Formats: sequence, C-alpha cells, structure tokens
Amino acid sequence: MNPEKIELERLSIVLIGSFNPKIFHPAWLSANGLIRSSEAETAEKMFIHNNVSVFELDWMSINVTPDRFTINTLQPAYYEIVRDLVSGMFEILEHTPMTAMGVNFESHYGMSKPERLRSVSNEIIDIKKWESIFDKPELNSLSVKTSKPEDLGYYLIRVEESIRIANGLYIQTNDHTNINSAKEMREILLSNWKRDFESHYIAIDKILDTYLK
Amino acid sequence: MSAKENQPFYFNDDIELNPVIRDLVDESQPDPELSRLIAQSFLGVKRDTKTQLFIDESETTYFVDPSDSEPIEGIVVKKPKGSNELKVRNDTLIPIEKWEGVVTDFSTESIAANLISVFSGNSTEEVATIPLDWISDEDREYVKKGAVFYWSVGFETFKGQRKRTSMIRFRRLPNFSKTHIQAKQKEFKSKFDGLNWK
Amino acid sequence: MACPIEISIFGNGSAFGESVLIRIDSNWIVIDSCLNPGSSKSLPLEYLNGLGVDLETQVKYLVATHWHDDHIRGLSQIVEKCTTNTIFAVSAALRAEEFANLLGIKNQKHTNHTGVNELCRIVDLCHETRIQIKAYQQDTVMEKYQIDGNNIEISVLSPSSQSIMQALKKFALFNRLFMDPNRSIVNPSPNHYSMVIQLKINDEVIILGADLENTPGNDTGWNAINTSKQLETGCRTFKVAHHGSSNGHNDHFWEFVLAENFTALLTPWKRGGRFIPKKTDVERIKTYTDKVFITCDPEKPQKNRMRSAKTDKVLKELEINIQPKYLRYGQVKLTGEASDLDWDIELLGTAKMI
Repeated sequence: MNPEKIELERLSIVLIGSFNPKIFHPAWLSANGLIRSSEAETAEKMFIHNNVSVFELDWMSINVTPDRFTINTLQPAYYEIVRDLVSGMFEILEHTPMTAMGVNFESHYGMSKPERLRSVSNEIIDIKKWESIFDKPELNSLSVKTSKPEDLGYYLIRVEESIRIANGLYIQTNDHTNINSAKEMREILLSNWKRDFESHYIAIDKILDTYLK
Repeated sequence: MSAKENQPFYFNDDIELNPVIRDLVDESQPDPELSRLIAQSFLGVKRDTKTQLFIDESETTYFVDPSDSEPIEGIVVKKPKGSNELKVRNDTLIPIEKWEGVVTDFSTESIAANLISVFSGNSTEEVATIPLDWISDEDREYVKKGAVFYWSVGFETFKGQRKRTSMIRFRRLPNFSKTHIQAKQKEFKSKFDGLNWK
Repeated sequence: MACPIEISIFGNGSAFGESVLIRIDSNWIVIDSCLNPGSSKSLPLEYLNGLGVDLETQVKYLVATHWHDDHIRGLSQIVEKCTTNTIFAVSAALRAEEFANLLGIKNQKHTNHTGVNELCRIVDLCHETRIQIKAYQQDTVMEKYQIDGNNIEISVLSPSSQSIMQALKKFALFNRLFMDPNRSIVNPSPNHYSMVIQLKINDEVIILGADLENTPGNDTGWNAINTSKQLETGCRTFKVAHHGSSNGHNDHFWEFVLAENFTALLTPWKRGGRFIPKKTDVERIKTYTDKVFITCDPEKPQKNRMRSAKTDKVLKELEINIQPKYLRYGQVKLTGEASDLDWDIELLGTAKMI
C-alpha cells in the first residue's frame, strides 16, 4: 500500500448555456427548499451584479455568467449534495437552454518524498526524449483526451505537479458531454455520476501503478 | 489597520477575487458602482462608503476611499496562477466512509436506516441506528420514512487539530406544485403506454 | 429423448433478494432478479452468461412477480440484453394507470435505494429494446406445448382480480403519500398482487409462490389461489411464498395442494432488526416436509471485507453501529429429466438444507 494520500480534492460541475445570473441567489435556493435557510442567510462573498452571480456557502461556491454556470465544492462529503443541488435547480429551471456539461474531479495527491513525485512526472512524459530539446525538461502539464462516439463529448485527464501542496501530483478528470437541454443534462449527470466518480479514482490508481517506479 | 496615505493597503492578499468578477472589471472603465459592490461584498465595507477603482498594469487593484482622514483600503486581484490552484479550507471533512441512506423507521430518539456505501462501490445494504441528535435541527423536518440522506464519517482538521467527525445531510429536492407533478406524471404515462404491450 | 429441466433459486447472503431460473430443454424463464453483492451484477444474469446462454434467443419469458426491491434488483440488466423474442411478464396490477402515475412521481435517478428507480430504468429499456410486455392475472395459461413427447404447461395462479383492485387502491394512496419528492417508497405492501406461476411438466407440478401473502378475504391472496381453475394438486416442488413468513402460509394450500414431503425452496429476507423466516416459521415448514432448502443461512453473517480495519475502528470509536455486510450468495439448483423428474439437488455458495 502506498504511503501517499489525497490531500485536497474538488468537484466542479460546469454548464454552458444561456443563464439569467440574477436568479441564482441564495434566497432563491432556500425558498425552493434546496438549501437550509440558515445557509442562505450566511452566504459569503456574495456578488450579484447585472451579469454575474457569485456566492459561497460553507460547502460550495457558485459562479454564474450569462453563458456559464459553475458550482464547486472542496468538500468530498458534499459531492452528492452538490450534484443533487444542480439537478434540483435545473429541474425548476427546466427550460434553460444548454449545450454542454463538464463534470470535473480534481485531486492533489501528496507524495511521501520529492523523489517519488519526480519519478512519476519524469516517467509520465518520458523525460529522456525531451532532453534532446530542452536542457532541464520538467512536467508542466499533460493532458490526454478520448472522444466519445457521435460527437457526444470527451473524457480528459490532466496531470500536473501540484502548486497547492508540497510534493503533490495534481490529477484532474473531466467528463465533457454535449447536451441539448437541461432535462438531458440532469439525466446524464445522475446516470453517469457513479461512473465519473469511480473512474477518477481508478485513473489515479492506474497512473501511480504505471508510472511510479 | 494602518497604511501610508495614497498607498494601497493590501487588505488581505489571500482574497483572490473570483476570475468571473475580475473579467467583468477588466472589461469596464472605472465604475464606482462596481467598486462599491466589490468592496461591500469582499471587504465588508459599509454601503455608503465612496469607492474608486484603479487598474494597475500588472494586477488589478480596487481602492476603497472611505474619507480623507481614514486609511485607504484595497484588495489585490491576482490572476489565477494555474489550472490546479485550489484553496484549502480549514474545516474540510475528509471522509473515510460515505453512505447514501434511506430512513426505514424513526422514533423520538433515533432513526433506523438502510445504507449503501458510496466508497465500497457496490449496492449491498448495511443497516444502522442513528441518534436523532446527530441530525441538524434544520433537517429534522426531513426525517420521514423513505427520506434519503448522505452520511460521511471521517476526519476534520480544525486549528491544526485532527478530529473524528460525522456529517449527515438530508436530500433536498425542489418543492414542486401539484400541477408540475401532474405534468410529469402525464409525460411518464405516455411513455409507459407506448411500450410494446401485448 | 432428453429434455433437461432445471430450477435454480438464488438469494444473496445479505438476506435481501430472490430470483428463480427455470430451464426447459434449451429455453429459460427468468423470474425476478437479485444482485451478486460482490459484483453488483444480476445473479441470474451472471449465471446464464456463465453457461453461455444466448439471452436474445433462449430467454422466452422474463417475469417480474411484483415490484419490491428484493425481487427486481438487476432486472434492468437482463431487460437490456433481451429483444422482441422475449416476453416480459408482469402482474396485471402493474399495467394500471395508478401504477404508471406512481412511477411518474418517483421517476428520478437520485437514489440507489428504491426499487422504483430500477422500474423506471426498466421502462426506459423496454422502450429501447421494444421487448414484448404482457400483463397476467389468475387463470391465464402462458404457454402449453409439447417437447420431445413431454407436455409442458405454464400457467398463472395469481393475482386474482380482487387482489388487483386492492393493489390499485394502495397505489393511489401511495400517489398521495409519496408526492413529497424527498421521500422514496419504503416497505410498500401489499404483496398479494404477486404473480404466482405453476409449471406442469407431464404430471409433475411445480409452484413458485413469489411473495404472495394470505389475506382474510376469499377472493384475494392465497385463498383466491385455492379456487383457481388452473391449480393442480400434488405439487412436489414449491418455492415457499414470502420467505417462509407466517403471513405467506395458507392452511388449505399446504394441507391439500402440496404433496407429502414436497421439496421446499426458500430465500430469507432481512431488514433492520426484522428477519424471515423466523425460527417458528422453519418449525412450521418442517412439520410438512424434511426437504427444506434455503439460499443462505440466516445466522452466519459474513464480515464486510470491502472496508478497511482502520475505518471500522474509527466507526467503532464514534459509536457508530453498522451491521456487517454480506458478500456471498447462494443457489439451490434442482436438475432432472422431464420424462422422469427426480431432482438432483446441488447446494452452491451459502445455500443449505435446513
């Protein structure tokens, strides 16, 4: 068993479409029973302007502009709750036009020693091959993508050295789906959830198994 | 708080202004209303405070200029450093086990629930009795037979102390009107009737 | 000429779930489904796949006796593999508008718990696969044919029309009770609209009792079966109804329809602190026959191997009492030859003779 562990995680769900930012207000969420009323009252960093809505609760933050909706949580205990919140909001706003959804899981994986991190980052980009081009090459960012059939979207994995934690490896998995409606978004979000969640952790295991020499 | 006159006081450089707002500001010309809103939202500055916006070459800086006699406060808006930048919260619960539960019974003291582990990745059920006082007062109205909840057990780091903790939260779906539900039923019924019935 | 017959009953070790498979020559009937707790795959599907059965051509009937979680988990995985060659047989109560409305309210994929989700998924898949669906009630013959000189007859003994009426009233009540989107349906009685199937192979009678319960009225539950025109006496193989519980027992049926020392097959059921069959249930069954087989032993839970000891320790320190999870499952497998049915009985996994 590896001594390494995940030190920091985030889920973000991004929707591309046409939104009316002003609707996305904590009081609206609480009036519809989607969050606790005390949470609506204590929302922080609230900024609701003509074309922007931004606010934070203890367990999530929301950003909305006319073409993009983003919700984040750094608390793994709340992943399903954030998912349900997105589904609930767009069950109410079921006629919101939407074209794409991204479900992103990010993990900062703390390595026990700098050498172990170096070992993964060197292996993953096959560092020897780069030494003929650069003097001291190092991993900046690697992203690998696979397309879904019929222009449905893609899965993407991004690997970087973490800039948040010491000796950390940053791994992001992104499930991007092209969609036609809020209804379709909800169906896909709910039915692919388990797979998206599990495949993130499977990806981490596989990357470490393959590249940690 | 003190700052030299006419020098921006970097209120707290940990406040990284949301990129969404930063973009909004970059596009605008100095806009007192916007500066006031930002100052209010992020610095807790009072509503009637006069503010002024200033755009620096490298970074964008907002000034709050309350009056001549008081120091100038500001906030530095940094560009995001990279795609993997996340801010750590102190009170993050790192779960070692997480379940989706459904209430099968309850009394004034506890709830009985069926649980499916989210982490174990299978659908086998477990059963637990949970004291009612583990459930937030604001979620008590959700305690009914059939109610779905999420339960995480793990560690929370608070002020450097790591302690075991548990968090229960009931699922909240929108409160829909009867008409809305009936419309959903109708939609489903037409699909149901359209099956290959013999 | 050979016409192999098999009856296999599956149940998982968490005492939650039941499924029966019937093989007649090279064709199969799948009755209900439950999950392999280790793989989360449908147990009957895994078994059929293991045998190399072609689901598209060899599964003649897929039966959902009733809609409770413990009988329909994983059924969607089977529907997904079937085509229009298969008939999906359901209790006539499930064809009704009241039932569709109930599903319409609960048609949401948020939760892993309720059988309703599985049903909604099944409806979606039935839409895609265009599998044939037929609603059955008492005294219908599903199929009657000859194979290699053997007479085969499959008929439906339940639900009676009165049981269906009662079920519809209950569905209408649920429609009101579960309007609240945050509640999923738990413990949804009644069981007496369950489909009970009788299989007759030459003179040999096999009855699969599903979860049918006894009711006070003469025209519902087991009392209604006793008046069924299709009912044959001298049944030597019986899938005991409702996990052997006392409310699944009907004196007249057990005295006059079941043969002496018949083969009793059952699966246990457990939820919270409740468990069936109880000790008294087993004693009662044993007064009728010595040949009682159950898919798992209720008294021997398997430890949850999916969770680390470290996690278990933390749960214990927080005084969280989680009952152990069960990862195994059992199968009682009866095989024989149609022309002379004398069962060979195999007990697999956690299955045992009581």
